[in-house]
Amino acid sequence: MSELRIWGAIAGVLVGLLLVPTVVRALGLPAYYLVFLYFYFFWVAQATSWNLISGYAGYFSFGQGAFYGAGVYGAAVLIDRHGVPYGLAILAGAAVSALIASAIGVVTFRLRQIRGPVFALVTLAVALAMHSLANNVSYLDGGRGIPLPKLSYPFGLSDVEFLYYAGLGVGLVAVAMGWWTYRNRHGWGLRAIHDDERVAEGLGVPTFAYKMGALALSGALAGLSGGLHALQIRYVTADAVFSLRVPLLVIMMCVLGGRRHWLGPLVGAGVIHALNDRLSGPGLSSLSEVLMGLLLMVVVAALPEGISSHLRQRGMAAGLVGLSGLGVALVARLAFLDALAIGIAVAVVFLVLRTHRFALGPWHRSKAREVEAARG
Amino acid sequence: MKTGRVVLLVALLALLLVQARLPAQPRPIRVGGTLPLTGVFAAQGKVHEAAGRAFVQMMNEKGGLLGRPLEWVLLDDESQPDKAAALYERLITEDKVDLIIGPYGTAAITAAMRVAEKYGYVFPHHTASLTYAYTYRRHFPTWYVGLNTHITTPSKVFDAYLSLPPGQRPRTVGFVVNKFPGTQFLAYGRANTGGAVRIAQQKGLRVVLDVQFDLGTTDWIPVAQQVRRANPDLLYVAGLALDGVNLLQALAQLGWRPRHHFYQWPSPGAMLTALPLTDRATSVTIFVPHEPYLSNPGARDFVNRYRAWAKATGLAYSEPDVQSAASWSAWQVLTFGVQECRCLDHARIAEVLLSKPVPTVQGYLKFDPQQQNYGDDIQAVMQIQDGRWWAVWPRQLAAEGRRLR
Repeated sequence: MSELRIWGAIAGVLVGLLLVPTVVRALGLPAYYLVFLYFYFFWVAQATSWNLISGYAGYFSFGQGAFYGAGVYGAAVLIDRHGVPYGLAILAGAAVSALIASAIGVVTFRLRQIRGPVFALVTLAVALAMHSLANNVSYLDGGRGIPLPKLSYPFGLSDVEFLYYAGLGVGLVAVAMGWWTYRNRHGWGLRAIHDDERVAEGLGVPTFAYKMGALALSGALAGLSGGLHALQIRYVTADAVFSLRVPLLVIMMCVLGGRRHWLGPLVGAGVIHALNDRLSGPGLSSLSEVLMGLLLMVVVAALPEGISSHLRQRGMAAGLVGLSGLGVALVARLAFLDALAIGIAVAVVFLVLRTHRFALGPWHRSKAREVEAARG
Repeated sequence: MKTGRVVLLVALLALLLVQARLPAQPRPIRVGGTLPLTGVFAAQGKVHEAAGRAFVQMMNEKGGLLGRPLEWVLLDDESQPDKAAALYERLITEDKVDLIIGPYGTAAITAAMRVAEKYGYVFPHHTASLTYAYTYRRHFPTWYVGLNTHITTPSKVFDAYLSLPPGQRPRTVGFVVNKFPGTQFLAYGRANTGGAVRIAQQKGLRVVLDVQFDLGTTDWIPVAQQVRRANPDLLYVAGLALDGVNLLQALAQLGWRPRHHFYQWPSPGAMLTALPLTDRATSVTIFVPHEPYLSNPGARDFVNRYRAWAKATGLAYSEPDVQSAASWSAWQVLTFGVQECRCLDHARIAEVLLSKPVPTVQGYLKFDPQQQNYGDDIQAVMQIQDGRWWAVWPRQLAAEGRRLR
């Protein structure tokens, strides 16, 4: 496909996404479609944020909860206590998260022994400390929670429409950030660090600077998305914000979608969010956890590089199969979002079956190529 | 082969014919709601689910609502307020439910109420403690604690204890407070008013301990040591669920037993399983399954049906309590509004509920917009005596022959 066509397709998708609220309103479609998409953008942003440091650089982090939580609390405190306009408050929340991420980086990346599981534990400890801080410092919360005041949004937008557009903006920033990092020298360097940091260092990759950059970007993005999410939560409490739900789901999304590519979080977030959303009924919600666990096991075994890597090779076929599933479900008079979830599930099953590769042995992957590329 | 096909075709036609001749079922009235079926509040969610299911079953056995079957579209909010808000948006705009009923817990209720307000839906709910924050005219709280619960609730508790004969009356009090929004509000009040600690001092009690702990605390010994050292006459646990039982067990390990002890929102069943440690423990309630409560509207139905449902579904504690009663009351409020206006119009349902006393298992509720739809605090102090919970204060709500010990 020529570059012009690619840009044309991207512009078309963007225009389409911008028109979604107008179409929903004009056709009298459920406003929930916008909420559903908002949550998808939210998860894309959070998953991309995790992927920048953990997927690309291989530094497995549980800090997502801290970065996300700092964004939520940063925005909520500024809006509630100081009456700061929510736009500014959200940006300030992102800045706070980036600062916290940078502080973690400065301490941990200087010490050679803080790698692998130790880094994961350090970031988990930071998230737990943030929870405790929010619960104990009365300026932040003090255990009482922060109910946000009613807010009005520009251009006569309803809260759902505003969150859709803002979520879309944050989601696009996330995708652009993931794509840009993946494509440029920084991304190659991060993947080289992932494969073998000592070799990467020996070959001249500025590992400290690259990791710091990735972690700060990760924090900023998680904080930005978290700050916006404060408007969705409406009543911010430490126990809900600093639970392990966000980091665990985000990790699952990236592993499922693919950690070494910018497309991975988009795909993983789509699959997990659609299934999780549709399986919310009694009995089904417990089933959804089982189903997602099974799905994760199958995908990890059959598609160890995540769905996105195979989607790139068989995207057209998987898309057609998914659309057929969606079409059949619509003909069977299922609601649109139910049909969409079925379409996505069918496409995933197709990819797993089509691959015929279960990586039960060691994962042999040439690392030299990427290290060499980083050097170049 | 040919015969088989003919038989199949005939059977299919017969089936269609029979279906066509069956009287059309009236379309059910659909009530949407979420509960924490998974996540940290799942145990409480199951109690509210049992109450709701038993109520819907009862309604349908009695002919439904407005002659139509009642259907509860229940979704799992995973104990997350953001998910609760999103699911109420889904219930109203995608599932197009006729009515809604609130989720469990302050955070989820606060988030869901904003959605209800946006669409003008009547919003009965049962377990929100952030009373001052709810300005929506069509919200109907059924844990009926009054607008200033941070003043009235602790006042009632201390009045009960101060009504004891002089020799038994507590003179010092020790507070153990969960860092949970609702318990913080009850313990410390808001905007320099109320709160159990301040009210205790105003009532002449000397505060000898004020310690806080995190939700989900597992090691209770450090807290217990502080309690033992302070040695208060009255132990005031502003906690919820298993906090009280856990603290009592830690205190027992240190060889200390409270002389008087109060728990804000405990799991009533768990308190009974921990006897004799929990003997004479007190709490607040809006319903206890004995007179005078059993004479309230629908109370006997509630008690019998809830017990049966809870036993059949294997709930750990099958006695009706404050949680299940609040939930049942919310269903009573919703269906009363619909029955009285004989409509599903939210504006008219709300007007009915605001203009008439609403019969519930807690008594008749008067929703007063001047008080953000909270009327008087009608809670009673209940106490574990002889292995059961009994209302003991104020006297008009106490079980016959029972008083605070």
